[in-house]
Amino acid sequence: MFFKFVIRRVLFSIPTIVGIVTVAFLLGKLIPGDPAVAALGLDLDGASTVSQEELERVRTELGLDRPVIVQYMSWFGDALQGDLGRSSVNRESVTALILRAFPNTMFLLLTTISTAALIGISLGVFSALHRGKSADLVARLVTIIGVSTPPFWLALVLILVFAFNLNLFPMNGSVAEHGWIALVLPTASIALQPAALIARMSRSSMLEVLSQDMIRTATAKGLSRWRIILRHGLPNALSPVITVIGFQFANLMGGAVAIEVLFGMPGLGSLLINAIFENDLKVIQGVVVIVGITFAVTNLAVDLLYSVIDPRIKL
Amino acid sequence: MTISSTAAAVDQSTSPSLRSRFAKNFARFLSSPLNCFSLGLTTLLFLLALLAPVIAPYPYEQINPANSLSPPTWEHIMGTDQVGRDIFSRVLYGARISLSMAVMTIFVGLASGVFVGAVSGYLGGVADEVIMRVVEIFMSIPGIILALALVAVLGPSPLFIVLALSIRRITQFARVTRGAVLGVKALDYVAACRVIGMSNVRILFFHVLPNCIGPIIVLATVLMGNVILLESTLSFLGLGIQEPTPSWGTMIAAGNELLTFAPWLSLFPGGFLFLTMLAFNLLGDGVRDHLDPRGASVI
Amino acid sequence: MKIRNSLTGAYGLRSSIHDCVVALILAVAAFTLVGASVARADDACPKYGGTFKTVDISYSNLDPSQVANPQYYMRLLYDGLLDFDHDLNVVPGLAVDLPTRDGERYVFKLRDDVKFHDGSDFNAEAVKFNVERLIAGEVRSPLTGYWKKQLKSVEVIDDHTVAFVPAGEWPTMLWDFASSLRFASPAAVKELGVDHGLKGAVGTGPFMFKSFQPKNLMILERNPNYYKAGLPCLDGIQARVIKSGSVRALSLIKGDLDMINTFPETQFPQFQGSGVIIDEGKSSTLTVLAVNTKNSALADLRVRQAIQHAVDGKELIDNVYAGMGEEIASIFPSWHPAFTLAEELSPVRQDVEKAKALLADAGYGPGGKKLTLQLLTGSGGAHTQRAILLQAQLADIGIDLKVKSVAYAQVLTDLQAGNYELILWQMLGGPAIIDYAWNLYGSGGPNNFTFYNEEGGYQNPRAEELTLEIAKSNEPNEVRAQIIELQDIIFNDVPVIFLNWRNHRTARTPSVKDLETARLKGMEDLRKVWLDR
Repeated sequence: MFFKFVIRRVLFSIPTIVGIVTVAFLLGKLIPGDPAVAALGLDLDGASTVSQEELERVRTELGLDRPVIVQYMSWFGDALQGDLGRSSVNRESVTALILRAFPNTMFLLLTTISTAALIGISLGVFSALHRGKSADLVARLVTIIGVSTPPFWLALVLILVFAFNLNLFPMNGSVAEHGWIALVLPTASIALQPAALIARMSRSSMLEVLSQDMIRTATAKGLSRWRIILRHGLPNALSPVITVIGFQFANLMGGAVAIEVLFGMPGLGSLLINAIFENDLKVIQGVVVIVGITFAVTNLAVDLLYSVIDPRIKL
Repeated sequence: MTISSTAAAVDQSTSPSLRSRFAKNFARFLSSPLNCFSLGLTTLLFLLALLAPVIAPYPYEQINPANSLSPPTWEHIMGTDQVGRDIFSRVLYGARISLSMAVMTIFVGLASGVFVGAVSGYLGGVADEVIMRVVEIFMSIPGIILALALVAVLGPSPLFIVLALSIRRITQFARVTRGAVLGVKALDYVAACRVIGMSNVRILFFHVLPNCIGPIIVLATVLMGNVILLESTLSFLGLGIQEPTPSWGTMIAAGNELLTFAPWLSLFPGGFLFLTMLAFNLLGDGVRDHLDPRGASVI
Repeated sequence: MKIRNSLTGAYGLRSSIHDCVVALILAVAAFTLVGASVARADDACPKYGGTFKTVDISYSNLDPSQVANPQYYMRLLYDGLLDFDHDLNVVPGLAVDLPTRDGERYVFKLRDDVKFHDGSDFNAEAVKFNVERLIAGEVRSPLTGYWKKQLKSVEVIDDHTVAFVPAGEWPTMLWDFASSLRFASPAAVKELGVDHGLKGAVGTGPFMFKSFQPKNLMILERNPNYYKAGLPCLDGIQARVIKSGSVRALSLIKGDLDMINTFPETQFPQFQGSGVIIDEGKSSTLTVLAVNTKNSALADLRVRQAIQHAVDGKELIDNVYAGMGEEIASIFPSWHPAFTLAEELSPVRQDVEKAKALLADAGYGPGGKKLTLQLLTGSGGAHTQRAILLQAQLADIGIDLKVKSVAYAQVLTDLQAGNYELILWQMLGGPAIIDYAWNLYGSGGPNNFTFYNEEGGYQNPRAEELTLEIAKSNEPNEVRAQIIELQDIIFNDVPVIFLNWRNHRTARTPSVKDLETARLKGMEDLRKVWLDR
């Protein structure tokens, strides 16, 4: 039964992935401006001295003169083989560009989600245990403020205070350059939101578990409070929290784009923004495909994990 | 995946009089002081936005180069920007832009999403499978990536930004509605409706959907803050609302250049953005606790 | 904050206005320079060099033939046959001297003591290889079309002599050689192929490739075998990309960066009291509104003149450039050899009443049609601020200016397609007369975005004659009369709406020594720069 569910779920992600690849292609087709002009790499203050003939040559080279359906088929075939084309701006392979950017984004997302989970779950459990007391209220206020602070604005403040005035962290740059310390401020900027959501979910889930008979029985048996919480309460309360964590992981990408740009981290977000401003079609498509597939797989993993830890789920 | 609990809808499966139930619900909602506060704050923000032309001391686009980068004074209570425009007036008009775009986005997302989700959940079978696969495609591409890519495609006009932001809302509303509809559909009274020969359209829109309204309202409230943040992020990155139309995100980005010298440039729009998100998140929380205590509509 | 002007009357004082400006600047400079001693080390470097940290203009590729403006930081990695000195005069680089004319050919004698970073010899074959690579379009270069049009062939005469055969008249030849023809090691190019500019840019320049992440970080190290013995002074250069304006400024103040050369002038106050030195170089950046004269409303001379009279370039200088700019007084910048103060400047000065009258005469305004124009501009910072001010200035005479800010690639695309009404445009030029004459106003001029004298655009045959005549000479005094006549015609025809000249500027920490702010952005010569730490 479980095995069948896994197979079914995995099979169902195939059309999703095909769909993502198709959406990426369509996006690329609709991008305004002439990719050939962008390909010629004109930059700021640069006067254009490109001839029509030159543009034609580049158009042919980029395959822009073929029928759309042919372009789609070849894009799809190449994408399947891991070939996402070459950047029209600097001719670097898009796959290589993405492979270089991907770890940077993943480092950021992983540190953020673990920080958020740690803070969120502790805060949520703490809140639940002190339900209705002032501690609960304070914890809830903290979470609501966390979820309401715009990450890019917070990042500016953090840069000003902790990187500039206190000189504790680097202002700009990647992990490769400064080591893990480069992740502290970016993580702090975007971890608040998911932490707050996880805290909220943990609180309600914990409250629900605490009200169950099992816990009452355990309390009646005279087990210590912490033992009950850690052995019986938490594991049961965590399963819905994991779903939230999974979803937040994908949502985090939203904050990550602006944060990567602000902190000069060479991740997928920076890559995408640069590509949009330079009309670099292939890179935009590549990022959409890779990010889409990553999160399709994350969603799949979350589903499977959820069904493992919570056997009550309808298969 | 069927994690959407349908408890809320089940609780409300009988519907004697919607209006009186609403009034009673509303009174109960307001019994919490926090809810009063958040509702008050959102109302105030909407009022400020609506009355911006009356309250704003200057036209938002009126420049005064002679008085550029003035710190807050009695004349310009939030100071002026690089070309001498009044920040306070721009913040007010910014509220107008942000709120109206968010409301439009939610409206488009809600109208289309509820329809798609309801049909999908009610029909079931192949149609449901296909619709849910499409929804899943768009769920896999993070909102900001999709919005950025779409704005790059369509251009940064307010209409297109709303469209770009609403695509993902459609899928969110569709999922939540579908979950709720699935729960209600299984109830006895729906079967009864069928027995007496009601048409599917009538059953769905007059008897099933009204009982799914709880999670939908919760989602709509929760998403307001979310959408406002997304719109500001787009503007902050230079791909949202374009000058001279004020937008909090653009104003923060412009203030970014002068963070230490003229902090008021980004402080006030940032503060308003924070307040707005706070108001909607509190409200969303309150509505959720009230209508959907088990958190079925977590996005 | 110390403001210093790096230009000290290289071309003499040409006019009373110019006198005043220079005298004023010198006075300010003298006043503020007290205490800022600049050690001069003419040939030898001081003992210490250090690693110079700056921000670049976000290159995505380091191959010299793949970027539109190879004269920028490309000069660190690669040399050209010709080079510029600080005043933008063309001087010999890898060539022993300026080219000699042999019939229709230009003959260059090459230095014989130059090696590429990979140890291979720089010789005539290497020159031919690079030029042919550029012309064949093997790499996607924006310059391919231009060079193909200008150059017929390259001939190797002997190991250190090479001849270029032009396709026809080539008035900008020296400038083009100095700015856009640079040489990479043929061996390295053959080995790395399209990755040459990404994984190992090998040239003959003062610095060598160490590592490069496009749009992120470029690290260069000193070339110990540079042909100018003893140079460069620095041990290395790190150029990173920082998008956020505040982070750029804060990094400089904090000392994480040594110099920035791209920042909005509005940031100046932020550097106050921080020790950061702001240095202004008199720039050749002409800011104009390029007018599409094919547009039916803008084809009307009165409308263009009305717009010219409505705008106030001074207001932009004061409010957007923090005073670092000059008003239009000639079609040439004030430092330029061809600078000729126009006798009548009223056509390019603000006069709102006259503007209204002209517009009413053309049938717009109260009782007439409403004139709505679209302005295309880049987005962010100075772009946006200028657009906002212009919008307000034009609103005063009843013109509704719709601003469309787009990404730069889009501006260029629209420009190519002639798909615009007005474009806020900055143009750079060198010391050649042609840079500010034929290039902008001649039919077929590479920077003529107005269709002036081109098919379908506004016609003035006399202006065309004059630009061609002037293009043939590079000695201003020979063609002074023509310059004066052309200038008056251009100011009257306003194919472009003149706004102002914008100065280039750098901001640096006090430890940076021997840095002279260039006239063009990114043209600073870093070979003699050293860090005093």
